[in-house]
Amino acid sequence: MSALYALVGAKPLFLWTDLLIWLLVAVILFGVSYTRKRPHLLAPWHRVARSRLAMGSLVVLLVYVVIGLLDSIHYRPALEQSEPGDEIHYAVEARTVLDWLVGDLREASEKSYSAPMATHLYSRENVEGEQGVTQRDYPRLKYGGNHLQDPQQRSGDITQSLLLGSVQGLLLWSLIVLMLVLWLRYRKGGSPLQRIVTLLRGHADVSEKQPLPWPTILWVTALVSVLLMMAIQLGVKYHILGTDKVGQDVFYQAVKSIRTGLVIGTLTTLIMLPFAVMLGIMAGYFRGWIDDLIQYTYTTLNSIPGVLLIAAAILMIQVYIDNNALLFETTEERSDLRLLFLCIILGVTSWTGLCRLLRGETLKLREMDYITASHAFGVSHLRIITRHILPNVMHVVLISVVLDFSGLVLAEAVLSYVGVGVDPTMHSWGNMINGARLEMAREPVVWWTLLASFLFMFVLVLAANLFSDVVREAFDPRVQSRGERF
Amino acid sequence: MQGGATSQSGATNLTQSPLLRIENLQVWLSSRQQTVRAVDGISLQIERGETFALLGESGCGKSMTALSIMQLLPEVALKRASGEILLEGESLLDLSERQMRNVRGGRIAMIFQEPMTSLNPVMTIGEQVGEVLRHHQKLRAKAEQQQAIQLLEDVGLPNPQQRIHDYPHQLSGGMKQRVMIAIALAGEPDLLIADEPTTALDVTIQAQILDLLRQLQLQRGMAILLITHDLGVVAEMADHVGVMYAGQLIESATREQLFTCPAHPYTRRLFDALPDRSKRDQPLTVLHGVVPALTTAFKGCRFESRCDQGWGLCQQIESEWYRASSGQQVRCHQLNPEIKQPIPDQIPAETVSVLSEVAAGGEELLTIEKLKVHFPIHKGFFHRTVGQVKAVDGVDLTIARGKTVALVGESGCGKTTVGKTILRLQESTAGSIRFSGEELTALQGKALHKVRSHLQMIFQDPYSSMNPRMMVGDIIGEGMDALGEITPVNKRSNKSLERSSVEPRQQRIESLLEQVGLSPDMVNRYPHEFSGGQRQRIAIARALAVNPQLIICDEPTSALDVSVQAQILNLLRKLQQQQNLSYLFITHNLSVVSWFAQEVAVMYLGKIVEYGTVEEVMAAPKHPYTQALLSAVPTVDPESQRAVIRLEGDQGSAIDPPSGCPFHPRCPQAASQCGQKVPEQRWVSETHHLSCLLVE
Repeated sequence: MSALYALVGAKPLFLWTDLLIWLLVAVILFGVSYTRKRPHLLAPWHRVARSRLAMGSLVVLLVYVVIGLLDSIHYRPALEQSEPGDEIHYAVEARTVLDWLVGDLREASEKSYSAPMATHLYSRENVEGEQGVTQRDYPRLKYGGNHLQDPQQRSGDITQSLLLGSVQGLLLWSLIVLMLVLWLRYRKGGSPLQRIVTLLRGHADVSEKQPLPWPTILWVTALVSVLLMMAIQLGVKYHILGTDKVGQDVFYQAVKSIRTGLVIGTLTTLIMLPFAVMLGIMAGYFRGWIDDLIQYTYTTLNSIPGVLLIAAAILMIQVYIDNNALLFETTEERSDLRLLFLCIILGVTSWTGLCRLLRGETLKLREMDYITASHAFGVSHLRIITRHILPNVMHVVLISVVLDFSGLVLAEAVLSYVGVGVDPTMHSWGNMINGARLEMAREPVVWWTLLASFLFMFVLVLAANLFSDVVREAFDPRVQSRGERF
Repeated sequence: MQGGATSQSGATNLTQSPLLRIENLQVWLSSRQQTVRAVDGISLQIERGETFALLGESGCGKSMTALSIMQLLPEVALKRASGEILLEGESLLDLSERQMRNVRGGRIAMIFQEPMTSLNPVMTIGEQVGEVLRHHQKLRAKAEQQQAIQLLEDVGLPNPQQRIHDYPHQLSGGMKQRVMIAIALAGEPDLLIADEPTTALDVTIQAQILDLLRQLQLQRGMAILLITHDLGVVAEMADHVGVMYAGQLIESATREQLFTCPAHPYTRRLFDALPDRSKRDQPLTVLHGVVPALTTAFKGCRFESRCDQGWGLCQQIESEWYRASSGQQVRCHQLNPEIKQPIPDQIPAETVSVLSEVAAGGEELLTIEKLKVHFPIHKGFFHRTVGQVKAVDGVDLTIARGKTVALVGESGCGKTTVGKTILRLQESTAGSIRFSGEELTALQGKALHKVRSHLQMIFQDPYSSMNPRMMVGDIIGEGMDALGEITPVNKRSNKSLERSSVEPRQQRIESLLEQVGLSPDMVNRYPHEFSGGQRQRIAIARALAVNPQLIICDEPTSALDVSVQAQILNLLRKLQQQQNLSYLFITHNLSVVSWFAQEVAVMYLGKIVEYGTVEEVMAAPKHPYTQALLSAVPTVDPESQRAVIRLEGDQGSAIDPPSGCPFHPRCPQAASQCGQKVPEQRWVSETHHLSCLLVE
């Protein structure tokens, strides 16, 4: 094994959250293949797929998810051996596949603040002139725009990069379209031209009853790929969104924060789901003292101020981490454990809402005739719950999971701002905002950190909200029955 | 055409033109990229003061016609609304929404099927009536209240002075429907549209409401457009009848013409499909299939696919209107004088085979004695028991093998609770239930599990009785799996080989589907792909899967259309003969009882008031309640001059039942002793007993 690590020059690092995230991916993939075979489960997803809004936001969400997943494969690069034959040591600081992809961006640290796309620092410093005269001026950046001989050429260079980026973006997009056309031709046949027309004009051919909103998907993809290529073109030469107090690239920080946001938004739900589903269904199905017990539990839990509970739990885990520093080989493992516990404690405090919903839904279902029929057959309680009740409340679970996602992403930002969120060394939008708090009071104002975190969070939450809205509507039984009446 | 019509109405006296005329009305809606031709070319006219009944099965476009008269069609889905709707010569389709608002409530009013949801639960009924008065009659507060009281008195609400401060939840279903009618009358409309006004009500209450509508019509000279699926209601109420089928009118006749000599094959089949005593010894004539989906683009006659008298022409050309010999207008090629086509036999051969009566005799299968089911009422912080709902209060019942006992009564009398208690889905408070000599109420655990396969149930609502997320095969197989009736092939043990049914699960499910008249390849389909009647067949197959001896049928046909009801009833009877099944048939539909059952138990407020064979109870009822119940059922024979016994008020409360005979507050024959003494069971013949002090 270690020979293999030596060959690659890296040792994989399995973080808890990474494992859970990939587990979630596996569960989702299994869910997709399970749903595909069942027309009644597939029907609402067809409705989602036909919505332009949902598909547009899905493309944006997918970009976030891909970035988050790339950032969830950690490894420790090998350190340079002082002498050949020595034991190979691996870095204390782990990296991810995303770090490897963005390359220099991670190391490209300036001395301090610099504005977006700047070539000079944001504040004056003593600079030694050509004749050895010290004068106060804005020094040139080490990385940002250092390829330019003359900073005056900057605007021309930026325009050129943007043009190049958009051309590359369109090429990338054409590649995607080409692959799509080939795939559709493989799936459905027809001439390539016919396929392209179908894609661009959204025309369904006769065989296709429910067309996907291809034009919307393609336009959003075009926008995303152009933006991506522009960011790549500019990112290698400039700090697109400036640098922070210690000179780190803000754009890099914002991108790295995506993983934190996604982890909080998804894992928290994953942790709370078993509680909420099991207890909610039990309360509604068995009634009596079980119902009373579960109700009292969540009513009590709900009356404890959530932030207080979270703060206490996070402080406890922090003390544990500090006292057992030897358990953690890398800094990532330390901050990862704290992130995991944040997810757990958020999950523990947020299951009550879904639990209450499920209790109500189960109360309604248990009176249905098919449950009575099962009782008449002597079917066991466990079997009734798993075969009859659980499948019929899944839409409630799905809707609430999707709706909760954006709320949790925002909750992370608030908690980190208060100081009980993720580890301060971890990249997260909340930490960025926390840092930006003081910068806003500075003169001249450093506005880009706040703007960057705001933009990234806003796009993610907006896309998630739009998507969840469509999902909610598609799974709402009232909407369904309205459509099926005729 | 239009110009001619208006000039004509201008020239002649206005009162001679019909109140409402609909010309070639078409209402198309779009749903899921499909066009639903809900109403497809309807023409009719309603005169002042007459009752026009629109008759048809569900999904025929009756309600859509009513909604388009009111201009209340769903805007979003509306694809096309063409034709003409003329109210006293004024085209309603051309009116603006603002003008239309004065027509609604003011000149045309509407009452709906469900009185529970038609009233606003947070407003007193006085306010709700007053709201309409304010809008249409511009009355001031004082006058408004007086007028509201007057209206509520007109519709027969007792104590209107106090009742106007009541909220809807304080009223019973029948009272709510009366309030709905009062609201409809508040604008003094010329036309009242009643959309299934009594479908959700019990027969005795239905009789009250129909009576009221007739009275009001006489007093006010208002026209009524009555929408219903019930031939009996039509026979009692209508002057003129339009039969609707798949978005079209197919027969238009006066009541006398329709009931003496129905002309369209569909109408004739509807009459044939009605169960009643005279057809007891034969199967009900079945209209196979269901009403075609309104998304189809029809070419020929819409009824052709279900018609047993059609020929080639029916598939190609839609029929014109022809006049039948008895005078009504009919849309059927059979009546075209220019076409000479031999009409095939009236009833196709397959349905003629006479079902002989179920074998008489047989030992007692189920015996219920003094069964009581009381539900405690908890109140307050410590859940103290403050009272009992006496849902079932001393019921005796015997069901013999291979027989059908009908349990009849109004809603809330405890009939469903009896059924559920037999199945041990509900614990009994006292009394005994013996099944083949075995006491059921004491059974626990394994012993109870064993008995479960002998007793099964079929439910009323075919939509909620099946898990929508399970396939038909799994639904039917569930009971077999749970009760180990048939072990799956891979797990089959010696023990199961000894049993009578050793065929593998899949094969058994398929044969069950065939038995109930469905195709075996439906095992992998989901319930939502089936119609109500088909679902009820699946429910029957599910119950049969465990080889039961007694099936409790809880209103199995009340959610179905007449033609589908006949199919299900025939099926149940066929199965009874084949497998010597016993049924406890819980229903409120008395005509089904007289066709289907051998014995009848009439229930009132948790007690059985009369019990006997069908001949005894249905032909010569002794108990005043049974007499009233039977007389309240509208009959399709308009000639029969029966004396209708009207019951006032509602069934009492099961929490605090009236002292003495529970029926005495409503009983037309009640004497002073009825309120004091609880009547004992009296036997009038060997098989017939009742609980009434007045009958010797």
